[in-house]
Amino acid sequence: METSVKAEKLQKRFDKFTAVDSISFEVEKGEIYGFLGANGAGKTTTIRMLCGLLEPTSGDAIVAGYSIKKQPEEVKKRLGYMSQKFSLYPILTVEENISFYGGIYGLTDEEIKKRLPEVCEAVGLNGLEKRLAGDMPGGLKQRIALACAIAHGPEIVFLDEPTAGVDPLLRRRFWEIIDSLAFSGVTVFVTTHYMDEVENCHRIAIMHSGRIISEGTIPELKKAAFVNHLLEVETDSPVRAFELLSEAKDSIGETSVHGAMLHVVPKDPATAAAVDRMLSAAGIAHTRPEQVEPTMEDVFVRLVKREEGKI
Amino acid sequence: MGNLRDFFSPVKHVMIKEVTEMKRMKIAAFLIVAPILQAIVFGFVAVTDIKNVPTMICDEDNSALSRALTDKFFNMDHFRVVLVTHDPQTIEKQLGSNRARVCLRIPPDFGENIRKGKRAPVQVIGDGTDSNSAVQTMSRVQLVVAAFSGEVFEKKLAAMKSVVGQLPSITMQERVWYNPELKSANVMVPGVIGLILAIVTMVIMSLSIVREKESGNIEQMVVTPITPAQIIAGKIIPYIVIGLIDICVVVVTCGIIFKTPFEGSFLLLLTLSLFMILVNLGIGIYISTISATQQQAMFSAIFFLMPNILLSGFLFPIKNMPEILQWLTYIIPMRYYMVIIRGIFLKGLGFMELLPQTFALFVYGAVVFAMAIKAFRKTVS
Repeated sequence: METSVKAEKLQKRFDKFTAVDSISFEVEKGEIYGFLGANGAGKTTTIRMLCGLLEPTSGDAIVAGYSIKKQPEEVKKRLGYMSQKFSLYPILTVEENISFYGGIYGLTDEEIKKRLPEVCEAVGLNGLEKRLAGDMPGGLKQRIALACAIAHGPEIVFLDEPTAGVDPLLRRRFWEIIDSLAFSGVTVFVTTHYMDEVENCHRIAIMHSGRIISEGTIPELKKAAFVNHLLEVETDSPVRAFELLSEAKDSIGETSVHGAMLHVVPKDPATAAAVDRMLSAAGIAHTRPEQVEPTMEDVFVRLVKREEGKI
Repeated sequence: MGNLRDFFSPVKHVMIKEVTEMKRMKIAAFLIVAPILQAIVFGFVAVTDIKNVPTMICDEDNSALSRALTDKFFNMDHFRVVLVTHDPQTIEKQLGSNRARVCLRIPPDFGENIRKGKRAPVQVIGDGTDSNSAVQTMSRVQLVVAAFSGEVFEKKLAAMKSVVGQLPSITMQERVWYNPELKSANVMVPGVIGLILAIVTMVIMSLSIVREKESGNIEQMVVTPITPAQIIAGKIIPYIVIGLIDICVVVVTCGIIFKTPFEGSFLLLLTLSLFMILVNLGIGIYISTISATQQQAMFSAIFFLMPNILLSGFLFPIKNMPEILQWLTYIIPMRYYMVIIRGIFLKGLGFMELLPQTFALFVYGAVVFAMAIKAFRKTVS
């Protein structure tokens, strides 16, 4: 496989604050690569460096075959960028917005003419070309913004928090579009803090305090976070049950509350029986502890906690 | 050639976008119509000529000579005689209530004194609450009185001529060049054009970049290969064209309505105005780049326009200002344009005579654009 982005010990310091701390990673062509992290984890700074907007303090990255340090202009030509604001001109039509962005990327009039129907087709905007962008609902604005970002046929697209404020159905449709884009060979680089959204990514890097604390496919991340499957117990009095189980942390493992559910990270295969026994002894009504697949949220929280030394 | 095309192709798309936005927002019509209306209103208002001043005459003498002097004030453009009275008590009432702004008071022994060949003083009382027009009006009254005095003197002389023979006399022939009628409109109207040009170009431009900063479009633009110089070029070219169109329509409007003379070359006016437009746009872009919000940009632009009105020589002659302010005027771009536009309108000056002013504007423009592009780069990173 061809490498599309290759970061090597990329670092960015602002005065004494290190926003991005020597991160290295590789993204393959046609891959959907997600950056997951809380606000301030360094996602946006990383993207801004990869886009050639910020010069790294040290390290380098090769994006679409060019160094972001030595040839940022070449890099800029080969990537598309969609900000979370969907920066469109509301009083221009869909078509005019796309032509404008194609034009400032240096496409000729003929190229724009050829590209317009292709792009509208790709993001599902056919028939809406003459409508004003400002009249469109949020979900369509998002697609227009994507159309603008891919107007010049970039090799890589950076999507910064792309689905903020878009309703769930249109979000679903948006990810289908992203999938087909990746299938056609465009590398897609996404930052998000929505846990459910990263399930659409082929590979994910979890960022925390400027560093990548874990990287891989979703099963790989789950494996890294949890050696054994999670145990789930439903109960009428989750608070009491939580207090009880937390006291026995050393023998059964970490417990967390999710509504009426308790999640226990089991120490060993005998934990399920132990939890059942303890709750029955205390007279707390509960279901039988069952093995469940951890959600991305479980994974994220556990990895960050482990990183912070809390586990 | 290829490089030139590479530079201008993105510029063209920024221009198309600007013009389309202007059209949709209906700004284009506003940018042409508003200056015409402004020119007409300003042109009428900014005129400082004193005309039809309500005048009263208090003739306490009521002799043939005093009536002859009174008659001089009728049928004149400058004075509108509202009252002729013999009672000095009414003077204060008339001036105090603004029914008259000036009063000529002829004392009781006026005619008698003249007949006896003695000095015959008359009094003129002005309303100092409007000091500027009081001074002008009173000196007008003085002119009329002096002319009357001359007539009286000549009559006496004619009577004596038979005895003394020919007497020498020196007379002064007055000529005013460039504005022979001393019409203030002729001076103000070209100034108004400069002012309108500044308002239209600087204010509109000052909003242009900050608006896109607020909406996030600038961020979107800077990830593309387009350079700050290309963005700025694309944004200013439509406004240069509008500025030049504004000059044409305003000059024609003023010519028709105010009959302002135009002695120089119209092409030269447009060429040199280009420099002023660029300076205004550069300042506008700079303001826009360093402002965080549209309100802030608007306020800064108005703040910058004020000295362009007050210190450019548009309203108040620079020579009358305190010396330190006179030095300050050199950093007011409008100062140079006032010389250019009045020079072309009234004196018909050519390029060589206006070279110093043109050069000053050129340097000003170059500095402002360099600052704007530098500030732009800084905002981006």
